[in-house]
Amino acid sequence: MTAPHRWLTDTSDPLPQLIADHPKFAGREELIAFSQTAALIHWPTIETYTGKVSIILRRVGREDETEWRNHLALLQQLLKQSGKNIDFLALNDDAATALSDEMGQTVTAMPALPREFRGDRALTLSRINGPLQLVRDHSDALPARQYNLARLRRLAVMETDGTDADLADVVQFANGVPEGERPHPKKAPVIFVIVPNGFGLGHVTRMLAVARHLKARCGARVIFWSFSRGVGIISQFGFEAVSRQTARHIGAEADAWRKWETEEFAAVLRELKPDLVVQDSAALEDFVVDALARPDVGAARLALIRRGMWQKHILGTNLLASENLADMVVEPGDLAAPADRGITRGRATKTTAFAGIEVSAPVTLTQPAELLDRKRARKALRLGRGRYCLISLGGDAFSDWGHLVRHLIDAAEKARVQLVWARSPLAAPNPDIDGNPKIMTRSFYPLAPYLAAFDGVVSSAGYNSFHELMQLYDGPVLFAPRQHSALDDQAARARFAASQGWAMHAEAAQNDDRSISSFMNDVRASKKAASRPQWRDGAAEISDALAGLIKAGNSPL
Amino acid sequence: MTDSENRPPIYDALRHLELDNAALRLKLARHEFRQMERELKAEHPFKLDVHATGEPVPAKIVIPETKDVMLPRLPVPMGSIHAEDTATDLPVIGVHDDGLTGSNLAAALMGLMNTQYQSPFARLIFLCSSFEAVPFLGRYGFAFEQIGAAEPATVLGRLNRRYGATQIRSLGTGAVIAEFREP
Repeated sequence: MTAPHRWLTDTSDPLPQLIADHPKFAGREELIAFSQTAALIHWPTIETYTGKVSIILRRVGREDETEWRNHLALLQQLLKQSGKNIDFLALNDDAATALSDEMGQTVTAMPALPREFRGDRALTLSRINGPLQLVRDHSDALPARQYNLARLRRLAVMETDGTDADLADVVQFANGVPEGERPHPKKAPVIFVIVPNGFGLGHVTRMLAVARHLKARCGARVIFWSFSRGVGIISQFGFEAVSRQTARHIGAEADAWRKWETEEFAAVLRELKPDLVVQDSAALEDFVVDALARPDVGAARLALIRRGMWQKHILGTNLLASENLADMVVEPGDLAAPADRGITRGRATKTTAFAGIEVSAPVTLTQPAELLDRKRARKALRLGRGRYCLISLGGDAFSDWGHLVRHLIDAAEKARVQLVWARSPLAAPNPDIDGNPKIMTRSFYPLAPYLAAFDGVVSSAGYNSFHELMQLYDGPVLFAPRQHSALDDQAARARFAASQGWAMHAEAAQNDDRSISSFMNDVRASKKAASRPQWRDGAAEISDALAGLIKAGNSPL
Repeated sequence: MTDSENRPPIYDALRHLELDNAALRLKLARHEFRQMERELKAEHPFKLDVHATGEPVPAKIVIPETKDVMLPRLPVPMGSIHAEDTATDLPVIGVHDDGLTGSNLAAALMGLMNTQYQSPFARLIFLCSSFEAVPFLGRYGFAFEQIGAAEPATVLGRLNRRYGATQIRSLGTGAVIAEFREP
C-alpha cells in the first residue's frame, strides 16, 4: 500500500485505509504517524516538519510486550530531546486511557467513524498466523492486503479472534458507532467500468448496455477504463473513457506494466473517489485490486461481471479466485446455459467471501424499441431492393472461414442473394473482401438496430451477437462459431441453438454445402424463424443490482 | 581449412535462419506500411459508423504525474511498419495530433509515417486529443496516450517518467512543443 505523502506508516498497516475514510482526517495537511513504530522509523521527517504533527499510538499488536514498551520509551526519549510539540491520539477511549498511563502524558481518543453497515453479516480478522487475514468458516483464510478496510466496513461487521489488542482497536474503529439516520447524500454515483482488450467488442458492448441503464436510472457518471480500441464507440455512446494500452500492446514486461497501471489507476481513483468499480472479464485484474487496496482511494465497491460458457478445456480454480475479491459477481444470463460445459457452470449456487453469484437475464445493448424497420434500416445502410444476407464473422474471420465464405458466395449467387460483409469498426479494410465484386462491405455498430434490412444472417456465436440474433431477429440465422482458445464456447452455443430449432449451425470442417444452399434458399424466401426466446432486459437487472450495491449492500437480482 | 569448414553445420543453418527471419521481417514491415498507406488514403479515414443516441463525450480525464520514482520505464514500440520491435538507441518523442481530424489527420500521419518508415528517427508516442485514431494506431502497434484538450507540454513530465520521452513535437509542423529538462 502506498500512503499519501504526509502519512508515515508501515505498508502492512490497514489503519491508513480507515483514516482516509474519516471525515475529520481525510485531506488534512498535518503529518500523521500511524504508530509509535512508524514514528521512530521516520523520526527525522517528524523532527524537521514545520507543520502540525500527530502520532497515533497503538496498543500491543504483533510485537511482544517488551518491544512495544521499548518503542514507547524510545519515542518519549526522542520527544524530550527535541522538545517537539506533538498531538498523541489513540483509536478509542480505552486505548487512550491505557496509553496515557504508559506515556505519562495526554493521549486523546480519536473521534469514532460513523457506522456504515447495519446488517448482521460478520467478518473475522486475524493476525494469529502473521499477516492480517480474513478468516472463513469453511474455506482457507484470505490475505487481507487485497482488501480495503474502508470497503469491508461497508460490507460487514468486523470481529477479531481476540489475541491482539491493537487489532481489536482497529476493528472497533472500523466498525464505527451508530449515528442517527443520516440522509443519503444526493450526489450522482461515480462508477468506473474496466473493459479488457478482448477479441472484438464483446466486453465493451455488454458494459455499454449496463452503463446506459446506470446513467438513465440513477444519473450515474460512468467512466470507462478501456483497454479496448473501441474507446471511440464508448465516447459516441455518451460516456467518458480513459484509453489504456496493455503490456502486450507496447511490448512491456507484465510486472512493470502492472506497477504503472496500479499507480495510475490509483491516482485517478484518488481524484474521483468512485462509488463502484466494475470489471467485465473472466477475472479481476491485479492492478484493479491493488489500486483499490491503497489507503487514500476511497471505499469503492467492487463487482465482477463474468459471462459463462467457458471452454471445457479451461480447468482449475485459479481463474475463479477473484470471486473472493469482489463484493458482487454477476453472470450475464446465456440462452444456451444448458449446454455450458465450462468451470463457471453452477457457480451461481456458490457463495464467495462476501456475496453470492447472481445470474441475470441475457444482456443486449439494443432494445426492441431501437430496432429500425426494414425501410429505414436499408436506407441507413445504402441497400436497395432485393435479398440481402449479412455475414458477421468477426475481425480476422475470413482466414478461419475461407471455405465457408466460398460456399456462401456460390449459394448466394444461385439463390440471387446479395452478401453484405459486416466489417468490425476496429478492423482494417480487408483486400480479400473489399476487392470481391460478389460481396458488399459495410461497417456499422451495433448491428442489431439494422437487422431488419437483411433476409438472413450468417454470424459467429459470440455472446452479444448470439443474444441479439436470437431475441431481436426473426429471419434465418446460420451460426459459424469461432473456436479460439481464448474465446467462449461458441460451438456449444451454436449447437444448442440448432437443437432448439432457433438457427442452423456450420462446423469449421464442414465440406457439405447442402445445408448452406438450404439456408440460402430460406434467405431467398425471406423465411421467418418458427419461435425464438422472448427478449428480456438483463442489462437493466444488472444495473439495478449494481445500484443496490452502491446504496446499501447486496441487492439480489 | 577455412573458417567455414571448421564451423559445425548447425552454425550455418542458424545463420541462414537468422537471415531468412530478417528478410521476412522486412517484407512484413513493407506489407504493413502499404496497408497503412491504403488506410490513410481512404476516402473517410478513421470513420466509425455508430448508431448511438447519446452525445459523444470527449476525453476529459488526464492521468496525473506520479511521484513514485521507483517505477520502471516502459518500452515504446516502433510499430509494425518497422522491422525491429524496439530500437532503444532512438530517442522517445511525443507527437501531438494538433487537434487534427479526418483526412487532415490522415495526411499529417502519412507524412510522419513515411519518414519513419524510410529512415526511423525516434520512438513515437502519439498524443491524441480525440479517440479517432486509436484503432488505427493500435492496429499498427504504436504507443499512444489520450490527452484530450490538455496542453501537450503539461504531460511531458509524466511521459518522461513513464517512457523516457525527451520532447513533444507537433504532428502537423514537426515543431518542438516542449523539451524535457530535469527539475
